[in-house]
Amino acid sequence: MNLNDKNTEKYIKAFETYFNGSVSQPFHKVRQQAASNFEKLGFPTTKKEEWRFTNIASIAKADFKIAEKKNAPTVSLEDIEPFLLANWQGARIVFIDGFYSEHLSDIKNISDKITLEPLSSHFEGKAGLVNKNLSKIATFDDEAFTALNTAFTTEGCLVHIPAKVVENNGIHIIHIAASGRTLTNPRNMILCEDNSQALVIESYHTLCTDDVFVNSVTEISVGENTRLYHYKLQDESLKSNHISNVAINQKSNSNYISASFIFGGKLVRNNISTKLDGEGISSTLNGLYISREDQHIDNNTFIDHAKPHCESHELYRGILMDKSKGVFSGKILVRQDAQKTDAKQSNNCLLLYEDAQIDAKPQLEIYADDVKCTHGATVGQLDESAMFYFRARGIPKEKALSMLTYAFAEEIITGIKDDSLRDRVEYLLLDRLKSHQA
Amino acid sequence: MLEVKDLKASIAGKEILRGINLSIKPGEVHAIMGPNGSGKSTLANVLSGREEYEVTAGSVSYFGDDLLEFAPEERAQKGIFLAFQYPVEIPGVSNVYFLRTALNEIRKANGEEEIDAAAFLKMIRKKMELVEMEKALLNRSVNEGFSGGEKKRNEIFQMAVLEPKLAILDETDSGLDIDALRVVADGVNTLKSKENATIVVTHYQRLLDYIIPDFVHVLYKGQIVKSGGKELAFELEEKGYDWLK
Repeated sequence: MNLNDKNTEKYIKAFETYFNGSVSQPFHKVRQQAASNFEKLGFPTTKKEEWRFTNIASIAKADFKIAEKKNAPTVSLEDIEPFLLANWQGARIVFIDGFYSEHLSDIKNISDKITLEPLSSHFEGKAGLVNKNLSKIATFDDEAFTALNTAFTTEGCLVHIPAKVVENNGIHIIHIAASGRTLTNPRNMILCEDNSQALVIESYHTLCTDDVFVNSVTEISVGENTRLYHYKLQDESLKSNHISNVAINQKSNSNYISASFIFGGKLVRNNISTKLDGEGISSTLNGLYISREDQHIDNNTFIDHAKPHCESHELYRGILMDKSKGVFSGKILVRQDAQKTDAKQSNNCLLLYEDAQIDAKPQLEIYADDVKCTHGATVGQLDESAMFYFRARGIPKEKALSMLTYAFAEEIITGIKDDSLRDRVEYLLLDRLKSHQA
Repeated sequence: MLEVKDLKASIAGKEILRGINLSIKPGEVHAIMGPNGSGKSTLANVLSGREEYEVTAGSVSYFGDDLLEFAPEERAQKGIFLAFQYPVEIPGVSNVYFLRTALNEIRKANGEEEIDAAAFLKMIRKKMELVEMEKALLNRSVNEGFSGGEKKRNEIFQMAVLEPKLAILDETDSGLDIDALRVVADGVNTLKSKENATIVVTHYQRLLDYIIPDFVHVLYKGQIVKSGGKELAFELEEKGYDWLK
């Protein structure tokens, strides 16, 4: 038995004792399947092409306990105050260690047609919304972390926007890892039926000083003629290991607009994949991250152009400080049927210190002949002559640095649809630059 | 206001300035002329504090203070302005925001109140007319995609807003057509007062047809080899720099 098998086995053993009393639920069969897939797949190693630049051995080897509801600490509204968005008009649903916290949530401010509640409320029924959809978009055949998450999916968050409902106030899902030395498996399901519109923010935070392993999965379906704004803000501690899988399925003429903002985490991997499963679809995957100390931030995107006349836009910007490391892999697949595809990908990095490092790997696989696909990557350093120009006009070094860096990130920040989130992202960016110089 | 004594400076170990002496009083315009490689731009950059240049000997006193002790931003806050030979493009930072930040940093450093966006816009309107600058350039990124003439005008516009005590124009005439040259020179002349001084660094005499210097200094191999009145500039134009060797 090799080391990887041993690491995997630890969680499988836990699985067998974890679900006492839930085995009668229809969803438990999916869990069992996921557990056995995880056992088969094991933790990925750098020998796997998709994991070449990111070594997760430290996660596999570490001794994380599976988070349990009975052990989740009591968290007060005051504790989570720093994670709330200022002037937020919408609903908020809060999960501690992956478990729903009713007293911290506030789900009044949205249309009563919308379902916003823990997934677990739907586990008992047979033909329910959740059982029909769960793990259909975020599949776990070949994705060990999704398999691991699914095996331990207990509560999770369900957002269901029925057909023709337009929700402009927004939904904020907050996931907080509060118990140290644990593995938490946040799970979100966002289902937007045809002709609907919504804005959903997921944010991830920590309330403990120990190492944690946050393994989140979000699956999203965007119906026909539907528009979904989806933002992810990750501001966990520098002791967090954060693996995230976001999988989207888009139907004809839908518009999915997303951006991820990564500020925290020691070892971070974000997989986002969208399937453009219809015609006339538009899909936007943007990302902004700022890394410091020895953070490792890996963004891995996959856009599957399956049908004709669709467009996709990808813009990633990274600001790397100290000896942090960034990875960007962007795969675009244009299938044979996907004529008239228009795909744009751009990945730019700003290395603020010489020790910082970035690996970038664009990957275009095109099987159709009448398509437009562009990709570009740049790695830049802060321009010394620009810096002197600022200073020669009386603007101190620190202010010049934040103005120049903000200018680099601006395009992604100004694109944020929600004012509260835009203010928060802007604040976090400037705060990280400032605290870094202090 | 400025006393430069036996100033020596080098870049990457190579000595460029080999003992400069220069004395400037308020209200004066000094032209520094010289062939390529004589150290004109180095002198301009050393005075404004560019860190690539290492001062190896000598002193610079500015209103009695040791100027060389100050960081570039502190010099700017104390009233030194360098109009760049090659103004830098700053994508993503708007011209108007850049300039207001600069003005407010200078105000803050001098214990004055910061100026808000509305008052600032009102204040700069006249100064834009002075350099015939198009309004559209205000909201564009600093110097990005500006023509050569627009960049130089922008430098003089910044100078008009920041109202320096000592302005150093580094080859401001290079790359300008006659029209732009006249606009730039008009700007400089209008801003001239009894309290401030200007150093005009130039290779050619033609800018001095528009900006009349009180003193002309000829820089050659890192030293001022000749000083005189404005007539010295005409002499140089006629005889060329070879005449000095």
